Amino acid sequence: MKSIKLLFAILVILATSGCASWLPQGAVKQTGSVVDYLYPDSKSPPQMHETVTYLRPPVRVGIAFVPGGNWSTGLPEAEKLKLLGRVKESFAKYAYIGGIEVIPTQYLSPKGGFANLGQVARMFNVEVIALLSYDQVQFNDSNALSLLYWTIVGAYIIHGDQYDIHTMVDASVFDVRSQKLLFRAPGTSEVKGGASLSGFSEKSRVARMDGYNKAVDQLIPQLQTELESFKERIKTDASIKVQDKPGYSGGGGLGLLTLLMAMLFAWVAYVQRT
Amino acid sequence: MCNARSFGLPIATAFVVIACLALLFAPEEVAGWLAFDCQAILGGQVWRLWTGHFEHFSVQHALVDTIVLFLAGAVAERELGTPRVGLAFLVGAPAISLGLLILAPEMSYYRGASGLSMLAAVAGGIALWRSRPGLRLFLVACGSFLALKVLLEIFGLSLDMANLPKTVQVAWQVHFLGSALGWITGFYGQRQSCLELNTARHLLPG
Repeated sequence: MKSIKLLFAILVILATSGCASWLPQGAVKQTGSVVDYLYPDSKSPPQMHETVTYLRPPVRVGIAFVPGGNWSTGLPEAEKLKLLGRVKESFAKYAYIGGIEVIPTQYLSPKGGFANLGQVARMFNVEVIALLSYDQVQFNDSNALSLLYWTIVGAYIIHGDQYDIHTMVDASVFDVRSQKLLFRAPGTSEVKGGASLSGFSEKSRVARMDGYNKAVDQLIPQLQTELESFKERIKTDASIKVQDKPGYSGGGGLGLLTLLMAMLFAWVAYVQRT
Repeated sequence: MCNARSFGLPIATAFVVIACLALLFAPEEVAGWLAFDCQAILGGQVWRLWTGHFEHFSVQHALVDTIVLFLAGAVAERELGTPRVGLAFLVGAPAISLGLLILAPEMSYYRGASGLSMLAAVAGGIALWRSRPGLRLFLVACGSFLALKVLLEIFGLSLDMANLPKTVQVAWQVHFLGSALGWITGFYGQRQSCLELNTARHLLPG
């Protein structure tokens, strides 16, 4: 009888330890670095060339996620395009941006450098590219409730596993011709939650997506603020010049304020006559 | 000081406004033949120097330009007379276009009547300055507004929202040239007008 009890205790220990080992513990990381993409295998810092960056509004802008190492296991391309679409929409209102092209990651080769960036810019006919680098770390932990997984039913209803997802999305805007970083803006998020053993995979996948969405939510206003300060910086920065695009179109634009002024002008002239 | 003329129909201005509005409903091919096109003008299609001012990019663009033109042109014609304003439009339109070729050689296309609107507004303002001294403070305010508008446009800023498509830039050169020609028209036009009126008064019996 004593040996049966011992055998049962060993079985329980083995079973519960098995539950714990089903999930990857510690941290799972997805990353795509702009430095790895633009300066692959770089052992020495890139040389600085004192060049003047010419911006010719309306500027055609490309936007893309940088290709990353673990990305194939992370966010699907369709979701990436949705996120890029949101960034695109928030910048469509600016008159000096001629058009924004969403560039799928497949067009960028990992560690492609500026040579690849130049090819993509020519392919999509853009002058400036906003590269979105990302870093997402998911911490998985089990709590005390996970002990109940051994009941089998507990594995379906008890939230014995927790995730803590930290996401950072960083937009770096480069002028393709001069290879100069014009400005950058980050967006971060933290998503926490718990799930049962059986639903952990699905819930944590949704949470990872939520993490990217929240980071992009924070990124967009930051990027708009940076864009505004960049507009101010252009006025004093001698290394960046704004030029008219050859062959651009011009219009004699009078606004509503001028229209009101003209109405007042005509009315005053008419009243003076009478 | 000259006597005021009556507020009749500003015929010269009405002609330009009707042309602008009529072309708004014309097919795009027609617009392609009439708009200011740098290469086409240099290739000999000189009518574009005039007709480019009648073309617009959108209904809103045309409406704002033509309403301002009509209001300013009515004042200018009342003060200076239809023949002078008509002549100013006839000479001013190609002068603005030629100036645009010189000041903005990289601008390939241009559409809009705002150059003529500025010409009419400044001409009318100068004429009023001389004939109505009581309005001078008001005219200084109007002139300052226009000067500030052009100055801001030179630096790529806008005092008010121009009704242009996203890919089209405000051609401040046109506003500058229109204002300069308006100044000349108002100054010399009024002077001539007063001289003629005073001569006629002396010639009249009694």
